[in-house]
Amino acid sequence: MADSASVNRWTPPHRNDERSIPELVEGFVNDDASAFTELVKRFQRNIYYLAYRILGNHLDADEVVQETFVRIYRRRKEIENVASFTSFLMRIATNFAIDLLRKRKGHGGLNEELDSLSGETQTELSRRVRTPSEMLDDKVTMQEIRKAMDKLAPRQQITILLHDVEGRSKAEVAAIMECTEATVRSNLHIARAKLKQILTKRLSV
Amino acid sequence: MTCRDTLSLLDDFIDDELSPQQAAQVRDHLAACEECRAEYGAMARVKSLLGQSSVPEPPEEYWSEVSAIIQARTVDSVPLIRERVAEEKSGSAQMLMRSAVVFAASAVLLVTTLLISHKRGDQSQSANRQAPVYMSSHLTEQMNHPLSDYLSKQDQDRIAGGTLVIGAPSMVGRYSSLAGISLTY
Repeated sequence: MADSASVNRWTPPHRNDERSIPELVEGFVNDDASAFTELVKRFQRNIYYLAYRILGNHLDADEVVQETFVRIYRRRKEIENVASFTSFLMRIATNFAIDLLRKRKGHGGLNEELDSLSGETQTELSRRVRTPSEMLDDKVTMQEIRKAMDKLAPRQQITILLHDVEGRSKAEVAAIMECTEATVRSNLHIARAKLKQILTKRLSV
Repeated sequence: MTCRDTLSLLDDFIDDELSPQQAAQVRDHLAACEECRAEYGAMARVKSLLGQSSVPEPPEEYWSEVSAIIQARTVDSVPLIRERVAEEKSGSAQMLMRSAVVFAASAVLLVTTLLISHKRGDQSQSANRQAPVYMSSHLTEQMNHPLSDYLSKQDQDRIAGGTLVIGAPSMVGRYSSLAGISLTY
């Protein structure tokens, strides 16, 4: 079972002994099924972590992972014209996650339903390997951050997740969000100010 | 540097995106201004908290399972374009051949049936007279049960006894007798 102590940050999914991302993308566009399978393996974790952070539960994160790859498979001929495959992929994932987030908010939120589940069921859904005190600290912090995040507009939320949580550059965020770096800066500033205001009260920041 | 200038640069200072000169000016101001220092401390703490937040890791087998599901929903269910074109080409050739065979077999069967029927008609006129009697009583039964989708016992016996029904399978129960296209041989 995997250790959840790591922060699950964005890492370039490429190792020296394997085909590079551009090689795989070229294969995928030219109907090489094995290249697609390899791309799924390389990117599925990054999409899952981002989706989990946006939506806050395993079931929705899983849906985003599946739908993102199904959609990119159907749109593979468009890839030839995009500047960055990674940005294109993450944009599909982000847009789908935002749609899901809006739906969930409209229906009272799946997060609330999951929060009310017993600890045992939650563990079955996403098993964590943490000590009890770490789990408690993590749970409190994550819940407070998630609640604070829920107060942000979806685009501000995604901007701060991509930049401050996943550690992507402003240029990368702009490419994923299809906006200018100035817009990223603006969204980031507003989001941080709101989060500071909320978290200062809740976590004695 | 004023408080306003400092606060406008705080985001970039936290992200380490200021020039060394600007960063030094912000640092100097923060050292001297308690209010701006508090603001900086709170913002840096928020960023640090966000950066530390971890996602519960799903069990390792999840990754292979989700890969398999994606594979089934994409590559396995929808062949890649090149394979699909090849498949469509071979599929349409096969379908053409199959249609020709079915058409030829139907024609032979129809002609044979008509010939036999014609021959029997010459030999036994009384047998032919019994058929309309059966058909009319059967029609009455069907009209009393218009919604029946299933073959009656008489229909089943008749088919087993050699009635050839022309029509799609879904139409057999509802329309075969009423349409009057059943052929007895």
